[in-house]
Amino acid sequence: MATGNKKDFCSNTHGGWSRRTFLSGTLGGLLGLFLEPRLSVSAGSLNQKLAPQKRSIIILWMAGGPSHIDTFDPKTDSSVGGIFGRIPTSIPGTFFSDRLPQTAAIANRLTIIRSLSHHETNHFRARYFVNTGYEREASILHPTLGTVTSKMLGDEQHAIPSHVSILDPGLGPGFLGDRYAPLYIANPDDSIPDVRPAEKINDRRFQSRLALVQELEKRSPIPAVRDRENIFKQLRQRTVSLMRSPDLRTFDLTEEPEQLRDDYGRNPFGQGCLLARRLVEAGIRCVEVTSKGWDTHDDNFTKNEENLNIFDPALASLVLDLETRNELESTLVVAVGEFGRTPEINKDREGRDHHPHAFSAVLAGGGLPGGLVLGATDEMGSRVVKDPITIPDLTATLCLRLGIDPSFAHKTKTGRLVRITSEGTPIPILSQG
Amino acid sequence: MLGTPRCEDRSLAKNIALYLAGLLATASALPGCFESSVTSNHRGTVQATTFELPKSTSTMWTTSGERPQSKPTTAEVIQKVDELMAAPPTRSSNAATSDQVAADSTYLRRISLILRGSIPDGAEARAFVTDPTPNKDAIKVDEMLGSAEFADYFSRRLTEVLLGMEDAPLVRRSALKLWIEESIKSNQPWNQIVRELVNARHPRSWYGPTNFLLRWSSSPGLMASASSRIFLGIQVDCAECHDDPSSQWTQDDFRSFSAYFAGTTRQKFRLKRMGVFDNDGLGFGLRDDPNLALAFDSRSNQTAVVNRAATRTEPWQPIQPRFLFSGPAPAPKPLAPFPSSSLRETLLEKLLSVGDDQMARAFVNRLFEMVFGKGLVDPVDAFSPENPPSHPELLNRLAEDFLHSGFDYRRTLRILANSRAARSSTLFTKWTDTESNSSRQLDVHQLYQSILQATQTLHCPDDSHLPPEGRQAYDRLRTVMSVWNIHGIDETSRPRAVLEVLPPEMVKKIEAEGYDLPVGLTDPARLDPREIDRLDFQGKIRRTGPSRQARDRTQSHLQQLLFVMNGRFLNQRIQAATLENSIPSGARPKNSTCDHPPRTIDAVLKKGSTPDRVEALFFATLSRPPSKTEMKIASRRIHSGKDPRSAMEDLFWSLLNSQEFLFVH
Repeated sequence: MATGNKKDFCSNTHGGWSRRTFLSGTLGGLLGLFLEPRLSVSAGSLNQKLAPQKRSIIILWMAGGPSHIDTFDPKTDSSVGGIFGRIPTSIPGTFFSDRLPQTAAIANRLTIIRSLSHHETNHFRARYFVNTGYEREASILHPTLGTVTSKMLGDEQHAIPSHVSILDPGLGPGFLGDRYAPLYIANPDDSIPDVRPAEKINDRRFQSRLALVQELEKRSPIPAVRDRENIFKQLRQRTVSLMRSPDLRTFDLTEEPEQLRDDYGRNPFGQGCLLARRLVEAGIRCVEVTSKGWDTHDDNFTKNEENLNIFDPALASLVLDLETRNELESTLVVAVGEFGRTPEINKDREGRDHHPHAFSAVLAGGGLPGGLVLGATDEMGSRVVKDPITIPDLTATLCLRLGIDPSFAHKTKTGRLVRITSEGTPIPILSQG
Repeated sequence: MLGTPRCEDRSLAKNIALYLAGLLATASALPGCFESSVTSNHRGTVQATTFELPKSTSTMWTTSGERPQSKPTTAEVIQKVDELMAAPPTRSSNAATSDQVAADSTYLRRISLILRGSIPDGAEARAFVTDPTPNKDAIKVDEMLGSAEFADYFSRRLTEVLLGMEDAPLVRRSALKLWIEESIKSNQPWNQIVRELVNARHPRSWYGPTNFLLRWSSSPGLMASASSRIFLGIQVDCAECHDDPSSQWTQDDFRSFSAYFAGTTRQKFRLKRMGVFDNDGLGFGLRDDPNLALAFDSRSNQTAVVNRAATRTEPWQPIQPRFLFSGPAPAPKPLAPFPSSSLRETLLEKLLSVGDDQMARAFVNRLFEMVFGKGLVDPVDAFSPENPPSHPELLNRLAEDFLHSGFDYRRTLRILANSRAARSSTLFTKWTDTESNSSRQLDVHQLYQSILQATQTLHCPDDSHLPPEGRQAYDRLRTVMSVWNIHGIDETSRPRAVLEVLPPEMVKKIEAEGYDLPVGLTDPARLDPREIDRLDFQGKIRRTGPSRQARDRTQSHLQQLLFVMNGRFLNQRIQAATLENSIPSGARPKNSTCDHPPRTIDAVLKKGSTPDRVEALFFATLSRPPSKTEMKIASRRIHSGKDPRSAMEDLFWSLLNSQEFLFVH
């Protein structure tokens, strides 16, 4: 068994806020100071403020850009509200779209941010910004928050990689390198693709094939191939360990009560959320679940009716399920897309178009008190009018809640130090406790 | 000018450096780490051992002063390169690294993977080993460089460099790939290719080269940084947000360079339904708007593309286009009237005159990376005083030769592939060392092609999901595309014009059958069963390891390994046809070559003796005969099983999943 793979797999060296990691962060910062004045690190003050706790994160990615007006920021008094109504939530005075009844009922567990905005109208660039906290540049690919989380908090004892991406492979690890790429699950009802030996190859035959490779490699005329500890061998060892791991049970949703599976919704996203909960429970640090169909240029209301029928029970069930199991405190849930959608409904197609100038995100768990509504948009939902929050601010806030120093700088291959977020400051009211 | 050498970072290819290090003229320098000093820079000056990107003018020629009058022969250059590479390492305890010539089989496999993107055929490997011709290596290299496989593999790699790995829905990758492939086949030199990429003669994405700028067309800055990164190896965009102290470029340099692209914008075409092309009725392309200029807003401290007229008023300060090596910025002044030739034309002139040295350096560095797994400057697109080449004289010499040969990349590859270093057995054996390991994994194309080659399923993709007419439609479209690529026909006159250049029998066919293709198939690659198969493979490899940067790694994530070990792709190809898994004949396209040659496993099973069978599988997968020990292990295994078929399949699987198969060494 390979034991020397520490540097290779979901390294835990920089995770958390232990004394040691704080020091290394500061060291990175000093180095940064030397190379680039802007990288002076102020981690110390943050460190003192917040007693850090390592947490897991579940990111519900609403791909395509959900209408904030049709979800968490309804404008039924205005001409832009469309045909959806609004309903009161368990936060007094706060309303959601009436297509979110279950989520409205648990709103007091949520933190609603209604004042996000940026300038990217292109899906990819906007997604890149929201996922990484950086605008897209040509010469560098930033890691997503999920990748950063798994790198910094991941636990290499698990057979399952510390970052799992369900229903979409995600943007990837950027300059952190492929080894931090998420495990991709295309269908939550199935296990990991190809985790079982090929068709007609039983376990015994697989083992004997593997034994044959190993025997041949041991006697290979090429010295490097004989080396049993090289990175490739370690990777193969981990791969085979995963194939044999009892942790694979985590992917077996049939272990869950039928009723609970129904509650989440018998659809890929609903079951994906349920799988996310099981994975987090098993110690996986970051799970992303993608919900598709929010790019409603046409038929906005028909499509959002369908989208919300899926999204509403899944989100509400996930939060309640985590709470019931006492895991909400240690798990941060965030639901967000790349931008919002226009208040105006385009006449010919009954759709809403891209609108990055104001949109919403929803947070739950992670030690947040819940019941908070931050920021506000104007009466049309067109512009942010109160407490604007930037994407880097959101990134910094999520990091803080996860027990990650948002000013920690990773090094690129060229030696450039790049902070997890360079401009963001954690939202003060969400930085306590 | 440069700081102290950062040896720990500069340890280049630990694998290559040991062998090559001695070339450094500064006797005190450690391998891959050398001193630099201020250099004077004007064309023709002499300087040894120093490296700096020239800021004001453009020369890099640091070794010999005057450019040579006559072009040296390939052999002379190879000799010089060998000298530069073979000088004993200075001050290295690893100096014992001996120069052992690799076995013929190792060399053949290595250069085949590098130049053709695939392992050699088993029979070819066998023949090469026994071939007594003294200069068979050189002959083989030439044969490979002239092969269709070279054009195919090289064009795939270049397309990835030009467009990046990310999905880019606007561009037509296959159009660019086909165009590059044809350019390589017709021996177009690199500067001619660049000319067309920077200033494509046709604005539509159906014309291959247009896709390069289209890919980066969301802002002048992005086009500028992509151009400088890819053609010059310079990352100028660090200066985008601030004057980067680690770079010699300023924000002003970056803005002025970006100004060349001020008028270049993306254009959406909505088309009448016209048949073969644009069945979706939509297409993208580039447009040059002479009324646009890049300007600096002194209030917001940002640049923006504005109408030229606006630059005469506050707060806009027009930004004068200026090439990177053109000295300090002039004082702001009103923009000159729009030049008759387009801005991109002007840029091109600068690139090919003032910038040609650096362009040559950047490209030979990429070629070096293709051969040795790591650039002399690494990453290949990060030339900067802070990131000097590990072996500056070697880089200079190669660049010089490349420039003088008229940007002949085949010549440079020939030199590198024939160098003693490429034949060394010790050179590639360090690949299991930590980081350098990943650099020599087969890339996604090599892995795909090599599995097909090893299993002899090259002509036999799994095409059961493709409608039978897809194959023909593809052939037709590909022909038309080629014509389109070469002639750049205007799409308004397209159907007629296409018919004019096509051979008469093709015209007859098209008239009879019409242009119509299944709706939504706008990319011809999606019609080719071989391409579909390949795209599917790439998708599975990439989606789990999409760092999507310089290289495409295939064995760096456990999900990739799961796919190779357990996936249908490999496993269905190693099963004997007698095991009821042959492709149903009805699903095969007509004229399919699927029946020839037989799959490896079937051919092997026809051989009588176990040693013959084992040897055949070793040649098919590892391009070499088994050692005695290996033969013993394999034979024992085969005899222990009841069923010889499954035993052979198991051996085949084991060889294909061995580290030796999955790596370039």
